[in-house]
Amino acid sequence: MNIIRTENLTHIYGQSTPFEKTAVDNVNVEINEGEFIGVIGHTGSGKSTFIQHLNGLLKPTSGKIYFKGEDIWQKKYSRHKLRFNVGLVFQYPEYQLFEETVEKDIGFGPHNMGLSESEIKERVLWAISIVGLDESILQSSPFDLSGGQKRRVAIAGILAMKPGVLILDEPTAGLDPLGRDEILSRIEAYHKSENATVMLVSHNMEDIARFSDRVLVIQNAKVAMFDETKKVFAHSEELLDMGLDVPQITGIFMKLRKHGYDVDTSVYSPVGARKEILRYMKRND
Amino acid sequence: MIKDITLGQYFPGSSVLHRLDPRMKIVLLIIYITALFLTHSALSYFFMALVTLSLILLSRVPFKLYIKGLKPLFVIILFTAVLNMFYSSGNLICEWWIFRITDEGIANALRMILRIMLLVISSSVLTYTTSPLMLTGGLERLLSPLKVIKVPVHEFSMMMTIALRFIPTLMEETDKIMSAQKARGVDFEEKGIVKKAKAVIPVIIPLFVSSFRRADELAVAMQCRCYSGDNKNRTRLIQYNLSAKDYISLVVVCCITVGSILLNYVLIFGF
Repeated sequence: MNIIRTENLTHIYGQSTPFEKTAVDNVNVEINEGEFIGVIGHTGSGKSTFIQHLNGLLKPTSGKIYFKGEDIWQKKYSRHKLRFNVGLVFQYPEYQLFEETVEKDIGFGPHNMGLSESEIKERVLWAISIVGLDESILQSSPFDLSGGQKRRVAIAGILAMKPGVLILDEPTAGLDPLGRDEILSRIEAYHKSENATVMLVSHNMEDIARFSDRVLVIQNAKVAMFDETKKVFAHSEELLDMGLDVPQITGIFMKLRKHGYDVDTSVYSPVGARKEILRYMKRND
Repeated sequence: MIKDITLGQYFPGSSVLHRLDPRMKIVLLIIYITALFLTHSALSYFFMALVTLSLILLSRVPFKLYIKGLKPLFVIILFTAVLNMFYSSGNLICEWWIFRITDEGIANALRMILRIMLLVISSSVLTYTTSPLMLTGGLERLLSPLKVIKVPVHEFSMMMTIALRFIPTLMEETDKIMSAQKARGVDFEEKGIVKKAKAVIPVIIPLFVSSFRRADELAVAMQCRCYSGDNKNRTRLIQYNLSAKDYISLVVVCCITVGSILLNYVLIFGF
């Protein structure tokens, strides 16, 4: 069953001014419950604008968004409550930390949900364990933490609301490779343990290839592709034409093909690569 | 909401007004404002309104922008007008309880409305047609004689430049943080002053933190480029040179001023 569906979703910034710009153009997508969706696209392609529609932060210029079959812009629909179900982690989320202690900051979302003190405490402990931080930092100020820790605290602040849909806008930007892997595997853990729907916006194709069930490619405010990861990376040439990257392994297989080896270029993971090479070698024995 | 603030915004263009020397433009504005304060008679106001209108046309900045700049001041304008209406002597027109409305009062109120509007519009003409950099540069040059009495003119203008430069950045940042906190369940539309004030905290604190961080980064970046305050050996990329059009505009504005003063003596129905 689809959990989020958009219908002819269009967003125009500064309509009827000289600065008019269509950031989202007639987008129709369906996202199923429990899916892991990778979102890729150029800087300025409208990805960020698009995802801000999914929890009702931006109002579409035209078109509709349905959450669990209900139009989120119909009258009397509580978008306030929707935001607890569709958690959105912005770029550089550590800049939104503001409380005196890490505990209070993570508990801010649950507090706004109107949960009791004991429930909030429970959620905070749960969220901090999900992002892999030690409970000992709960009483320290979020401003005393390292960059990677801050990022994780900020993500924990969204996770503590236990959103059924988690949307992350480049959650690993500006982190070192270790911090990046750490955060992504934590997000995957949340995805698996809670059967949560996850949308991950990223410029890193390796990450997209590793985690996504389906990949949404946005180009010039429009949906260029939306398909299973394998099928999207089978269009590697087109992705490259759009100025996007492909996973390194896919790149290698494209080169192999260019050099006359008849291999499948839709390979994007080490496991798939191994299989494809073995297949090729067997056939040519 | 935040995007509605237009005062002090530059509208790029290449009109005559855009090309005037910023120093001259500041001086002209001061003369013009003085003229506005000397204006008294109806005919004189009409004349100044016409001149201001032609300034708007000359600036080639959309008329809408000027109206937008006036909007936030609507309440202040109305307030001043009403105050003036009730606190004037003259022939009584009507009276109710302690309120007395006189013909002089109405005239004063209208004068106030016009004066404030013309003041704001003419100042907007300056800010719309002059980039913040030119504006502060021009101001620095105009005030540079004060350096003799140890006024840190350069430092002040640098501070102003930086402040102006970061207004849009801060607004963008505020927007972003507000969205992020909304995603965490802050409801900015909630009613009640306590709740509203509470909703501001999650925005103000991150904004403060990031402003300080930005200030720090900017300071380091400036030091890396060997910025050392007011340095006599420092030259400027843009040299200001007064040209014929600057002198002509000075003459024109002086004529307008004299004209508006003279028109004060031509009364229509005693106003």
